[in-house]
Amino acid sequence: MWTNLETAFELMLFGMGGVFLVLFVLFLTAKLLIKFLPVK
Amino acid sequence: METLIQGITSISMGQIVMMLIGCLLMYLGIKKEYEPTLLVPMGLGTLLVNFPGSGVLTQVVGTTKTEGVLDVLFNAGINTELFPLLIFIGIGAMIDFGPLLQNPFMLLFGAAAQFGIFFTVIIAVLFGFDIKEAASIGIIGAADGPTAIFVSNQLAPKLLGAITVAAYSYMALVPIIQPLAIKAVTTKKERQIRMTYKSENVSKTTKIVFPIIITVLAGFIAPISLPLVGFLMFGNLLRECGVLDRLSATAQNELVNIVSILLGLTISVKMQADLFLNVQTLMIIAFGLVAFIMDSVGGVLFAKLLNVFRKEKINPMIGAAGISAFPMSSRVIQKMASEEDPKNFVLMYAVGANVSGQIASVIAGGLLLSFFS
Repeated sequence: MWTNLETAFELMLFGMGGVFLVLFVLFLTAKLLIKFLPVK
Repeated sequence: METLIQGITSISMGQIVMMLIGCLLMYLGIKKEYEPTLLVPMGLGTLLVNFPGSGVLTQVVGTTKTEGVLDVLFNAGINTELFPLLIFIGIGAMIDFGPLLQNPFMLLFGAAAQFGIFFTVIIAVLFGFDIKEAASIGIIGAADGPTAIFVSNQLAPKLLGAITVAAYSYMALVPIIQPLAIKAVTTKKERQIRMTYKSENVSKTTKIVFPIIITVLAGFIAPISLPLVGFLMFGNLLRECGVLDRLSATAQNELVNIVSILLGLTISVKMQADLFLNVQTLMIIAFGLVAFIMDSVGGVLFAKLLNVFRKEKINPMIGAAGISAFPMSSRVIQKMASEEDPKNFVLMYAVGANVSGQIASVIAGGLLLSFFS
């Protein structure tokens, strides 16, 4: 069980870190798109 | 005569219990309108698969093997992941990224509200599930039926029935679960925080480019998630490109409807008594609730953390809207805000966070799969 628990904590770090990273990049992308592709 | 009554005499107590569960699912779908699109076909399917010698399942009579129609559908549509992915095209065509792009900051709340997934993985491991089974149970917290089916079918196929029932049931119970979870971690004063609505103007080109960028990004970071993300974004591109309105309407209506009929019936293959009636199922249903509660708590606590650093405070309830259950969660948040202060209007922010949750849940599912690949 301890190995599984260690993997579960790794998964928490990998998963939450990954989701935040991807969505933060999307946040920056959305900002850039809004700036460089404005409404005409 | 003996052949005629064989069905009654050979039925087991477990099969009778499963039939009652099937009836309960149909009751919840029809009378209470809890996710009827899935629960009604699944309820009847549960009846069908629990008759002794049911012809819908593969049977060996003497030396002849007769393929059952539900087994055929299961192998073709679930084992291949085809049904959930086809539904994703339809869901993608239904998503309007507009409210999210008007307030891109809301993207971060979608990420925070996936906390329940990973928290539940730890809890499930503590209760003796192996890591892949625990990850499949955690994905109930994605609050996204097709993602839960897609991930659990790859990581722990034998738990698919219980996970699907839990995922869809709790999605229907969001209006009950979220207020309790939010009130447990917020004060009345926090729930009364007003937010002035500001929004960016979003061009049509931005709406077209955005799903393509998400696909490219997912392709580089977690390529195993591309079936999920790619099909979702393909549906969205149909909607936004402006030249495929007919296909977009078909994806949103006919495609989703047809696949939902088949998906509900087919999933019930996993609702056979010997697969479903065990302590694990009860634990999965309990952990699903934990996942939904901790999603909301994670989102709210993240908003409270941001408030420590911000001059313009965020209503922390917005954080809880970052789950994938759209539009139910944003409606719940607006209702709660109005109850605390009838003039408080946070709906547009909540919708933005809620749409973000739809992206984040798929990304989280993809990351879970890539972790084990």
